[in-house]
Amino acid sequence: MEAVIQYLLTGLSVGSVYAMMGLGFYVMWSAAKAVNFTYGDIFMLGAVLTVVLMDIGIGLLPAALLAILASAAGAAAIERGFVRPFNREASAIGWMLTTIAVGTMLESSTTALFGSNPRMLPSPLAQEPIRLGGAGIYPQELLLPVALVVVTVALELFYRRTLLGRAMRAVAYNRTAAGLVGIDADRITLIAFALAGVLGALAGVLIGPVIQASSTMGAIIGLKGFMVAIIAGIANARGVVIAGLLYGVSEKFIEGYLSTAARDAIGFTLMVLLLLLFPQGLFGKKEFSKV
Amino acid sequence: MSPRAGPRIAVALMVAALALFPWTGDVLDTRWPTSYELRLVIRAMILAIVVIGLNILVGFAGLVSLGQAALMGLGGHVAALLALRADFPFAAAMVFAVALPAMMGAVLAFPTVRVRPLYLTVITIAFGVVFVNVLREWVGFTGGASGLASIPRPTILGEPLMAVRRTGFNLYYLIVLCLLLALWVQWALARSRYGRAMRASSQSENASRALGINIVAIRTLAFAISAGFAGLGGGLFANLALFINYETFTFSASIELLLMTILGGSGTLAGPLVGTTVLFAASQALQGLQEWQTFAYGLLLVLVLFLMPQGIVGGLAALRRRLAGGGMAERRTGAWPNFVPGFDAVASEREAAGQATLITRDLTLRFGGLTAVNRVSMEVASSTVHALIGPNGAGKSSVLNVVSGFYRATSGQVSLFGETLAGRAPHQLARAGVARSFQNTELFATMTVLENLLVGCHSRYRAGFFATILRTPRFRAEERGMLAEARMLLEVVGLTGFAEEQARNLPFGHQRRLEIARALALRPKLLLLDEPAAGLTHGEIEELVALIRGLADRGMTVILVEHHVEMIMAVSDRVTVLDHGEVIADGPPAQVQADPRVIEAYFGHGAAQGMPAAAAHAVAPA
Repeated sequence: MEAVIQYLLTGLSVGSVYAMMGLGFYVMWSAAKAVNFTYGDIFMLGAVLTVVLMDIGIGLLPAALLAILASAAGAAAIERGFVRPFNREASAIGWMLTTIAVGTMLESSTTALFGSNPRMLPSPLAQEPIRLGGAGIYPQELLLPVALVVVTVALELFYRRTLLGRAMRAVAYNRTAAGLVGIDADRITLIAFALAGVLGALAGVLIGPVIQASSTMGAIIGLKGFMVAIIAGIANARGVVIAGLLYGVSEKFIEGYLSTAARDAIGFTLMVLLLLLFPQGLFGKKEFSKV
Repeated sequence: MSPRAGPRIAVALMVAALALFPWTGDVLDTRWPTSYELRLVIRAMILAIVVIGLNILVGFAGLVSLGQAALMGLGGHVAALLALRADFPFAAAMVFAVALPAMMGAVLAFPTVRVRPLYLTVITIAFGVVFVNVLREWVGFTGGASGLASIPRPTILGEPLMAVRRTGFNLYYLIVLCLLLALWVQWALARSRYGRAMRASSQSENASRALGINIVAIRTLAFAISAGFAGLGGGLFANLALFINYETFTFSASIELLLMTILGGSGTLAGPLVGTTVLFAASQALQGLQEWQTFAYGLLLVLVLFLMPQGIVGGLAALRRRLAGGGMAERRTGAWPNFVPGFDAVASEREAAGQATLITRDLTLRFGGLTAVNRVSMEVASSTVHALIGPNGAGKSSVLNVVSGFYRATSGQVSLFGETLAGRAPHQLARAGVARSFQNTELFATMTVLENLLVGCHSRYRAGFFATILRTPRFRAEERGMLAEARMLLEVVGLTGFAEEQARNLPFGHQRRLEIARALALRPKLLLLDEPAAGLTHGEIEELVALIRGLADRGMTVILVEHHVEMIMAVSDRVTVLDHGEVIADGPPAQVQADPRVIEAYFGHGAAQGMPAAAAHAVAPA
């Protein structure tokens, strides 16, 4: 029983990270029908920059805030410099290649400058585990599902209640028509990538104290976030959140009852099978494409 | 000198250079190449084989794989494990080293490419990660980090294969042979319906499906081939090094392979060789950079994409075209329709006259709460021109899209050629004899005019995949026949002078002609034209009318969605009028023209009573 609670709690915690990453992919995809392929590196930058800023004597919260803003700016720059010029035609693939290239550059230069060893991201909430129903867990890990709920609600409100959010939905629905009513679709897309950057970097900062900050921390988590978004149906925000949490929890159970080594192999196989059964994703609707 | 002599000479020179290379030392009386240098060349050739496979995927099919190194590793490990653990002879192990990755490729491609190509890229990354993880963790089977060592030396007919003088460099020559084989397959594919279908599907999914191409199948095939080549490369690698572990097949190795493809020029035949050679040489020089080496690859990839997106070979070809372009003669446009003698064959797949080609019963199509088509019942008689008209948003194009399989009817029945059509896909309907054009012309923009037409012939080829790759005499006869028919169709629409031009360079009116000719290449029984006259000049419309009449007179059934009333009156045998998704009139053109409901639909309530004569005149200017 204790084990079950343990897996459930840590699963929800790591699942929240996948869900936030999935939401980032959702935000980018909706606006641009393209994504930053190496979004995991934005996640990594959030944590790594926080550590670097704390090194020069800035406190945890301001450092985290600055790191998130810097990562978001980086994400926006990637959109402007590497996605937009290569996403002009409907079936363009250039943006995949350019963002992958930028991602490798980010990751390898971080390795060279930051070092290849993981570093602590000190947080007062990750000092002493607390006991919950017999399971031990850091308060930091409990913070993640809370943050996910806040982010999800805020995103929903943003999309529904604000002018900018509505403009973003308009661009997602029909870019040309949005342009005709005076929405600067390019600017909206840039903002969407920055917004996704905030989500990704926030996830990195929040999980950083638990898994440590390193140049390679983002690759696999970014990939899982992407897969979670695909499995959910990339155009459905709530579905992405649910799929992210489910994936996180099932991962912990696989780890617990089988082995850590088998975790990713089983997880990815599961995802391929799900995609086979639900081509539009678990929560996606059949997309209507005008002929 | 014939235009094909250049590439032939280049291939001959390359083969000669590769054949002589190991013996250079004897000829020039030096110690070069040493076995180290020989090994480098062999490794470059193995990489080139993998890159050729990737080029088929990226350059032809427009799909991206970032797990190519892992598929190569799969081939390598299959070859190594079968030789080590099951005593498989070299040749048998190699068969599995190719077949298993190819199957793995199909398994990864099928679920993903039917949704969107992007998903394949994500899945291949995931495959690469999992593959390396499994190799690292499953120490008992794969040796973990220490890998699989002392793989038995490969033999053929008892003869050991080694790249040394004692054996006549037989392993080296075996790998040269594999490289030439890969080049052959790439070349044969490019000049076949499979290669054309791959390129077509990457440029316009809708047009491809409407021409009978099964997009999921062709993309799955492309990835299976490319994975097979990766496996071949991996198997050869294992048998060369006699040692294998996961470190060779990581994500960054996949990026390196992709970079070679793009750098050389994706989609070009020589690109993989050039890209592999240049990058392999550069990587030997970059080895001192250590962790900055990956950075350099990323930077190089970005630079290539920005500065020469077509790669070295593609860039040079474009440059040569520009230099040669000065002397290009003005293209002559022929008169159309020009019903040349062989044309009747195109309409030979006719239905018996007087039969109903298409019958819809209560056809309804809803998008959420919006009813686009509401209980439409109509009948289209064979060998007639049947016009579908109505104000904007009346549901005309939606009916067309249901009939051609692009939309699925919410309820009601559609029967075509006497069979009910329940949820058949566009490519299946195309093969059954339904061809169509699109409201916004959908050509394969970077393929030539002739290639566009040959894609139209796709579903009529009978030669299978292997006959095509081996270019058997039967296949070549078939290909010649299709080529003759394509040229004949060009003659019909007066575009013979533009045969080698890229479709995107044609003027608008010519693009329309090409799209109709491409639909005719399918030899359809039913031709659906979606606003074919939009944007054409007065003269062009008259020619279009002559073409459509000529088709119906030869037995083809034509459904025409059009706004241009004068044209409809001139060309149609029967007119169905839709408004708000419902049929409001149906009959011969003259009768429909006078129908007050039709006039009301176009001009609003009151118009019919207020000024019938003027309104009727406006609908059909005399």
